[in-house]
Amino acid sequence: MTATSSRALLVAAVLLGVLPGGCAPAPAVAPLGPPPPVDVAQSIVIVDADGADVDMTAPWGTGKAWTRTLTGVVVEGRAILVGGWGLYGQQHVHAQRQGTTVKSTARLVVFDADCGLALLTVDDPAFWSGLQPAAFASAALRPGPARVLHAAADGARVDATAAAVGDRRLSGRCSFPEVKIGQVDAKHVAQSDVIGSATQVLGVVAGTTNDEVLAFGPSTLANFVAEAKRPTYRGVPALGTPWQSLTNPVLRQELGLGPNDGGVRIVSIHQPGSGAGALQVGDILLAVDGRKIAADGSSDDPVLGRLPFHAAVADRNHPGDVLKLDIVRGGVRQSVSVTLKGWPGSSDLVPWYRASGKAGVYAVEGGLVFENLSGEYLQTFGKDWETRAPSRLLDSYWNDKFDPLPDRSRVVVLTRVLADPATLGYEHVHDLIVERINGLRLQSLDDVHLAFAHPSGGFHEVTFAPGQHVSRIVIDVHEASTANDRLRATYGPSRP
Amino acid sequence: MRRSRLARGVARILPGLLIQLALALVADSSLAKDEPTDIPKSVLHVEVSRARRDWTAPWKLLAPEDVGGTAFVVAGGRLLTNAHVIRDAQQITVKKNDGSAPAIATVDAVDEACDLAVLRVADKGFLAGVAVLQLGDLPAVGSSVTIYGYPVGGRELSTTTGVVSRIESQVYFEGATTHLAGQTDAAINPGNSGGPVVQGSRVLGVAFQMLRAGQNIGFFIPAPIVRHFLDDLSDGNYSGFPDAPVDLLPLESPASRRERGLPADRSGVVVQAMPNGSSFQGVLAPNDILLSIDGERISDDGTFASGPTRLPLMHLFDMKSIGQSVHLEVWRDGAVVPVTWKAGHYPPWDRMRRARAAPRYLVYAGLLFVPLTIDYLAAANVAAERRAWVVRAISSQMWTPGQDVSRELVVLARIQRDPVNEGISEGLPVVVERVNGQPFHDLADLARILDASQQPRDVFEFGPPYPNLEAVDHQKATATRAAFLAAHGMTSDRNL
Repeated sequence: MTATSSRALLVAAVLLGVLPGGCAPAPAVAPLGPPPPVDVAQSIVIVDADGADVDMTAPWGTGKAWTRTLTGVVVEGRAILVGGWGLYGQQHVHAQRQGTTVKSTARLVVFDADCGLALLTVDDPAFWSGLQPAAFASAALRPGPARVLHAAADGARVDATAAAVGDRRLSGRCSFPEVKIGQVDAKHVAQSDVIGSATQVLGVVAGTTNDEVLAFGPSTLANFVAEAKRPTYRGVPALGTPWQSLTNPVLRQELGLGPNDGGVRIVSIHQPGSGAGALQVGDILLAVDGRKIAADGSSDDPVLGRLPFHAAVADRNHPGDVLKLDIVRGGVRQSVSVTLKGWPGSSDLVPWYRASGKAGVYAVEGGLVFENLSGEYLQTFGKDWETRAPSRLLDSYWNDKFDPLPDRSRVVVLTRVLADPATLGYEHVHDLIVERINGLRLQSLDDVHLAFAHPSGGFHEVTFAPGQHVSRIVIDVHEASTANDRLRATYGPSRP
Repeated sequence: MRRSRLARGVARILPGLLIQLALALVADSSLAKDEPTDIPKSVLHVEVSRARRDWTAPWKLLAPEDVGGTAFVVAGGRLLTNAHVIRDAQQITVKKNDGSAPAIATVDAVDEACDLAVLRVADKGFLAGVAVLQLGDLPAVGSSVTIYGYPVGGRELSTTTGVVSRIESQVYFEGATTHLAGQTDAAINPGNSGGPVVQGSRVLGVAFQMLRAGQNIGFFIPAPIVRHFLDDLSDGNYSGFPDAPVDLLPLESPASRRERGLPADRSGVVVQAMPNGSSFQGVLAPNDILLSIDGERISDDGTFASGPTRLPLMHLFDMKSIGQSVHLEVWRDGAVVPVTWKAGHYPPWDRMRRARAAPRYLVYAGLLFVPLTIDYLAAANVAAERRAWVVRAISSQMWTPGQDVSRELVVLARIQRDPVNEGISEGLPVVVERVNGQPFHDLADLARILDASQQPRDVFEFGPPYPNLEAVDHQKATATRAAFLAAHGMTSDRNL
């Protein structure tokens, strides 16, 4: 497994079998005629973003402010494509053409925080004058030489470094496939750098590690751009059906499968995925839209080659597409159809990102601070958060992450207790998953204030999920009310 | 390590914070006098040649290594040392502090939970003229102590002095549990393990571990724990320390006290929850306030008075014998209610501790099955999400209503590659739920089912979150067992 700047997402994406679609033809963006070939480097622009982090342990404040320079590539339709998470938490974005000093205000059309892909536009028509959109490669992507194009902040120039398209294809973030880029020092490559041939975009760098550069391929990018240009962005389609490979011949016998049938066994159904309702645990999935799945879960893609089948589905399809799935259920071969839908990470029970991407989201009542559990919050436990964060929170993150329940769309955590007379004696209570407040089962952070508005008797009662060392605390209703006045003066109002 | 003084035991261990000290101490057996000058003679150097097991390949012995510790003479011609000093020992030698030849010692009794062991030397004359060191009581905090032992840095007996800094509950690294421990600033270093902590002529504790991150923070097993161990041994039938599987919260919140209606002259701690199978089920109830234990009054912070010191109430439970009836008083529904608790072991914790002694395993068709233990998790460097699945399995057994805590959880730990298991996928699912459709009670039961199997294929079903299946050809597995063991250098396919 590749460690990347967002390893958790990557792991999550691998676990989720993304959906599949078969191979509907990639939606073509229809230009009037074939554009003349343009050097991809001419289509590179400099994107500057100003933003701020949020300190999840003190969400009422503002975190460190930053300015970043990213590489953007101009695509058809007066749009700029930017890869990576550099725009997460942005407050203002500029675009700048090479060789100029003019910064034009850019507007975010779509930022997909699950994949790390953004589409921007600039409203000032002058910005676009003479700028040529780059074309995405549409032929099979083969290993071979390429250039890494990087917009340098100083002097608004574009640096080109030699590299090569590798032959490894992975299932990466948000189930989009990733292409390994080789023969280049990963230290000299940044997220959002563009991989180009002379005249075509071969990829955009999704992430780097110490020794690896991983990029989204051209078909993936073209598909994203097409979706992002719709009036409403629907996200990346995913089946949400984790599977096991069937490479064990003895298991194939047990399941009544021939040695050449291929197929994978569905082992879980995530309710927000497209596969829920169509697939069942135990189904053997043999083909998606006629495209056979091998016993190791791979299938053929005309551009990217051999891919995990769920990555191929995400790569080639859009929400709304209907796919035919060939399955074996209870020993009987049959077909079922699924209508793909997007599965944004923000709908996860434990999302990686804050919903808004901007401000901290929290509620304070009577000195108790509540936040929705998120990957970002867990990361506040440091580099080793996967082992150092409280085990019950990690348990929820890894085990319950994807599936909201009818009565629970977020996991609410009592993250800390502010020192106040109302909370005396609870100084050491923190990082507990809340189940109910005043008898009301919390659907999400939004319910906290409502629950505190209806105490029964003279005490607010907070009860916690089982298996934590504290199950229940009470605070005095009157004291909580005066605490709210005091603490809101200090920390500002809650932002649920 | 922020943790409530009342935190539960086994699952909350943080390996790596503490390191064991090998400490050896020899005592002279005729000691009735108060001269500390005789004590050095009773402190012996323990030299152990040990071969550890590789927990990820438990049929393998790792390269032998020599470790040193300390032991001291106690009544009955026995030597007391730490369990971790003699763990995995192939041979133990003890050497007196008088230039005489070392003797071979054997293990008489050991309890990893309290990290104590008793050794014996066959030659009855070996300890002639060496005084038995007498156990004292809990030292006063702030009083001076002297520690004898054979720490690194030289060969002769080393003597260090310091004061007793604190006495409170600590994690016993070896036992993966918590007991009362003394803390001292007397230098304690590797090699000191098992050495006596002496005041006047009395042994008040046994040095055993130190805080890696601290300076001069060494820990000793205090006399009451040592006495419990030795007394328990005296009838030849060792039963160990009881477990107290109940979560208690200090009653330091005035609001909580008012809400429970507890009169000002009463004090105690609030009962939170008890896991499945807890000996407190039906004795305590959530929201009871535990007021006293066998007449010892509990204060709001969860301590009781022991002479001039306050000790954690868990020590009161700890000092009981298995099967002993203990009288508790609780505040329930506005009145004092007497209840009786019977001290016992808690099966999930007990299994975890017992599993520490030597790794148990079953290899079948190259599939390595092991009981789920902390040691396995630590040794196998299990990836975060997989660890979370396992932790969920443990916690679910303890906290999901109706689960059977007597069942041993077994995991598929790894696959030793061989033609017999070709094609079985690498992504190991972990907890084994059923074999050939049958649930099983423990590792031995799993082995029985496989040994007796009449199936052409043995089918393994795995637990949540991904209920994978795997299958093995029974006849092939049986027929190739001997060749498999030989090919992989295994002396046995099992240690049940």
